[in-house]
Amino acid sequence: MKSFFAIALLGIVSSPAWSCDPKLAGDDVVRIESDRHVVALRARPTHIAVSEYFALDVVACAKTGTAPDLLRVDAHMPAHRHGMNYAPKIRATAPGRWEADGLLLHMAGQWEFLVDLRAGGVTDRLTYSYRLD
Amino acid sequence: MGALISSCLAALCIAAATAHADVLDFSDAERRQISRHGPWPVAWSPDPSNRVSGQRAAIEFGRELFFEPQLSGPGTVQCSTCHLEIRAWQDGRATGAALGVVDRNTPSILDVRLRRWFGWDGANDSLWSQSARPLLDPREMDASAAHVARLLRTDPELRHSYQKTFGATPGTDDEALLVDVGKALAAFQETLVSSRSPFDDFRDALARNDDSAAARYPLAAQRGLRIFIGRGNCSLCHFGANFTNNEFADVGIPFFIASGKVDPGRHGGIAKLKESRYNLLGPYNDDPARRTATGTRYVETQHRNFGEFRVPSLRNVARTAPYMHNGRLATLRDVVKHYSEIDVDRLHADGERILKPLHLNEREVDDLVAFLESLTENTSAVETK
Repeated sequence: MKSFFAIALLGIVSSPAWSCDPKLAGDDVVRIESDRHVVALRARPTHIAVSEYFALDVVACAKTGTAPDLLRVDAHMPAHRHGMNYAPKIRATAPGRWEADGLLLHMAGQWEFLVDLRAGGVTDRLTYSYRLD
Repeated sequence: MGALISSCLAALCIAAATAHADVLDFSDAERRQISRHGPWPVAWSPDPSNRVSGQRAAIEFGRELFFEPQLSGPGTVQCSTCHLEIRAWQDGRATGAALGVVDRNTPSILDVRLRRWFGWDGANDSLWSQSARPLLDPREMDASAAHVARLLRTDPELRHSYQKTFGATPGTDDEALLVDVGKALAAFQETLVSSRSPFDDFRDALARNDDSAAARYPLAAQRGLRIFIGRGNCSLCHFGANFTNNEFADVGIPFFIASGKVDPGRHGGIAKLKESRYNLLGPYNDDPARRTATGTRYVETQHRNFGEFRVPSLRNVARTAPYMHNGRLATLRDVVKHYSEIDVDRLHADGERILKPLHLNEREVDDLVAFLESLTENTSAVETK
């Protein structure tokens, strides 16, 4: 069981400048970015437990150009070569804000979250490495 | 006097040193991992999808039904034909046999309330839907909703118990009555909980840093535990207080059935789940909020699900031979050796890469078996064959 926040701090320290600022309240917010987008993620419940369902709040913005749509949120264990057993459903809650429900990480270990955004006909994949203990 | 005190202190020190010498030098990380396999028992909470979960009348009615042969079509078999209390609520056979022989091993129903999915393929998402399933299988109890409903309406004792449980006499909807029988059976099975085991005492002693108490746990079991949480990777799937992550895995057991058929495992289970009228998204879930239906809503079939089977709990595993979904392995030692020498070519090419041959030596096999045996409850019934 680990708070998203423990990892989030690293992300904030290593990426101090954001050219757009996806607003998501709370201490346990993870921010990741690509050349084109910045994404903020927050797990609900805050502590992700092995083999327990959780949801992710997602807020995304474009550094330049068209605002993105959220296509997909997923997670996998690269070393084990498997993903989740569930396909989270995405629901838009406001412009640039979504809720992904139905995630479950069924093993402890190193996971990678995948966030696919689409803008201007181009898909942009952002990843976030996360260790679940 | 001073010499006497010194001698006593020395003796105490020696005793303490001896006791602590009987606990392996588990690292802090290992102790954290061990701690996650408890505490036991897990707190009980009612199943919101079953309106009679936890109610005394339902538990009693469920017990009555569990041992009632009239529930079966020909009136000759009952739930307890395959789930025998004296055998940790399973039957000791490789594959179950009631009115006919089925393709899979009869699982123990101890601690069944803690499962997310039911059956080796997880085709059911509630204990009540799983409990109704064997009633309808011709190889198991060969009944029908009409048969069950007629029995509830006409048998005075069952009719009375039904009314006491559900607050009304049996109605005219056969299918609804079948589901109610499943819910009463579930209420009874929710009470079948493993007692604490020697492992639980060890785990709790470590958690409170009481190495003297922890030292009562055999060293062989401690060494086996170290393999279990370490290089064996066993605790990745056999996780938590109930030693299961409640999901599915391909562990290299052949899934061909003798007749030439293939058991698709989880792949087929998801298909059955999705089309079932009795799943948690269907009309018989008593919880309008569908709080326990998350898995049913979001599970999706993947190619790798083919040949995956439910990860079972390991509590009381020493009492539930034979092992695996088809009862192919006779002893715990066989199971450990299966994983130790696993044939990775049997695993899905596109599947996970967790299992690899451990090449355990004989003492390590013994140690792992000793650990698994230590998960046996302290007050277990004695099996008589």
